[in-house]
Amino acid sequence: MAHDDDIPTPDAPETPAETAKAKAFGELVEGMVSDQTPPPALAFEDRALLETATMIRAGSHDAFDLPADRRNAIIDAALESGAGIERDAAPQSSVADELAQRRLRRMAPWAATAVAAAAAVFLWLRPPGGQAPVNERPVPVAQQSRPADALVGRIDRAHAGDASARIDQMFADRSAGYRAVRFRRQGGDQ
Amino acid sequence: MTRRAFALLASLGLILAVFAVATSCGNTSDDPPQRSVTQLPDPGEVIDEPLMLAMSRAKNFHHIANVYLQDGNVDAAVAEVRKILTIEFPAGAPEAQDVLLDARARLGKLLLGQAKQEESLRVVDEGIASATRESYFLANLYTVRGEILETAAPNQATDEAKQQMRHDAIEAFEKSNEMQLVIQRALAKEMGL
Amino acid sequence: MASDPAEAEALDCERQIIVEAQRGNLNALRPLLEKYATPLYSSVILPRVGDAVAAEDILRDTFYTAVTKINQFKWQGRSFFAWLRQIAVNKAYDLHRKSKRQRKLADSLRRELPSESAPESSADAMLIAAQERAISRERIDGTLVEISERYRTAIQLRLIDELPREQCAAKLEVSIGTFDVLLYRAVRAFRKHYGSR
Repeated sequence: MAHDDDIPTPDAPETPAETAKAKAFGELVEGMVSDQTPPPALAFEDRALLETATMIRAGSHDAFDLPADRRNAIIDAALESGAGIERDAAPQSSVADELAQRRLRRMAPWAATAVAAAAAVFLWLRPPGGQAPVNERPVPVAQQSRPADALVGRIDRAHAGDASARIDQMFADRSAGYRAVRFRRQGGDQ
Repeated sequence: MTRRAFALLASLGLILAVFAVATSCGNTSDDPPQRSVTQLPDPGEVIDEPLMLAMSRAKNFHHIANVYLQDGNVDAAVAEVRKILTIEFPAGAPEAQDVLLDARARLGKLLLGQAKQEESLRVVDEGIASATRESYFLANLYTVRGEILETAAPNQATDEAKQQMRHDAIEAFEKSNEMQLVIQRALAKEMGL
Repeated sequence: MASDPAEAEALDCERQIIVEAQRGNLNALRPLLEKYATPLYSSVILPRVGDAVAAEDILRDTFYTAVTKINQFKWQGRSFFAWLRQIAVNKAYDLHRKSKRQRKLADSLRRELPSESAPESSADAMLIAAQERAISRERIDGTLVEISERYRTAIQLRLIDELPREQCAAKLEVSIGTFDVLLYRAVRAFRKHYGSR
């Protein structure tokens, strides 16, 4: 890392040490461009420079495919881990649980009666007309007037004055929401 | 009444209750509206025509300004962006503040480019004063404020004044960064991260 | 522009998959993960970390987080890809932050958190990926202008145009060995400036 602060100019003469490092780096780049896996044991600086070169290449090109077998392995691992966590979280039965379950079974008819009574009251008090009209249903977020922070994201200094691009983005987003609102009002449902 | 009969009656009552709940609920395929943490505490109002019209006008003024700038006519561009500040938005629409603050940021930058530092600062400070909530747009306005002060500092009459203005510039930049971080964390939290 | 009903339908499909997963059938997520793995890897993660192995690890962690926290995901009418992207960007940032020496780069990435667009359809997930590539390209171009022209040319020829070393050397009218040195210095210079943007 100490060398990062004094990078020679393009015309500066090369030292033998630098020539050797540059040659080794050139070969690493050759491997990278040919989509080869880099050697596992690399000096820190070599790895850092190779990463930088990869970032430049990956950021400039569309085709950086993830091989299908790797992709499937990653997905399998994620889904299995998720399922494993669910399995591990399943509670173990115990005597205390058994007793609690028996108590619940005894209470169930009384609880059901209370709910039924409440339902009867509710039905009696409910205004006529059945289902709530469409325009009283919860409005999806995309159809709501709301702040645009989540849409535009952080505004960095270089784009501080780019209000025109941001209004275009906001307008396009809200237009889609507005179309959906009108669609709902015309009788369509979401 | 026997216990069994009682249990049967209770079960029927439960079915009735489920029926009552099912018929009273609307379409549950929509999740309840999720309120952004940066949103004003108003009930979610739908996007309506007045909002779309106001945004459309703002968009058009920006685009006309772009055309003037392509021709090198900065004065005309400034005039177009100023018009955005006169648009009437529906009361309470959060987008209004975002659009207006952003227009002020652009106007501030344009005026700064014309070396009209005082006017630029006034436009930006008025925007900051008018803001009712924190947002990326308000943070951006602080960024522009910092730029204006940074540019104006060397032109001050005394060394103290220069130093003070530089200090104010830093403060503005820091305020911007701080606000952006807070909002970013809040939005990330909303998304469950 | 794609038809609204088609987009709405694709988005609704995603929503149904999420609902199913949140009911406990995690395998229901598979088609979404398969669909978004490559754009996430190539457009979002790899350009940020530069190492294929680390990128795969981050992709794995991203999917792991998404699967185990699926019940925390709230459907807001946006593509699932937007959420995956946000998780991935945060993890890339965390990776750089853990390495003291990568702090500058971490700070540079942090400034991009979280550029959240709100497309309403799964088709726009591809737009997000395209936007990511545009952002990456902009980041790279912005750094390239800060380094010397000769270094810029070396990087352009070898890493962006992907010309063989010999051809790069010929274009710059130098020997292969000298081109190696130019590229080595160029990438060092790029790295130095990249983290300080």
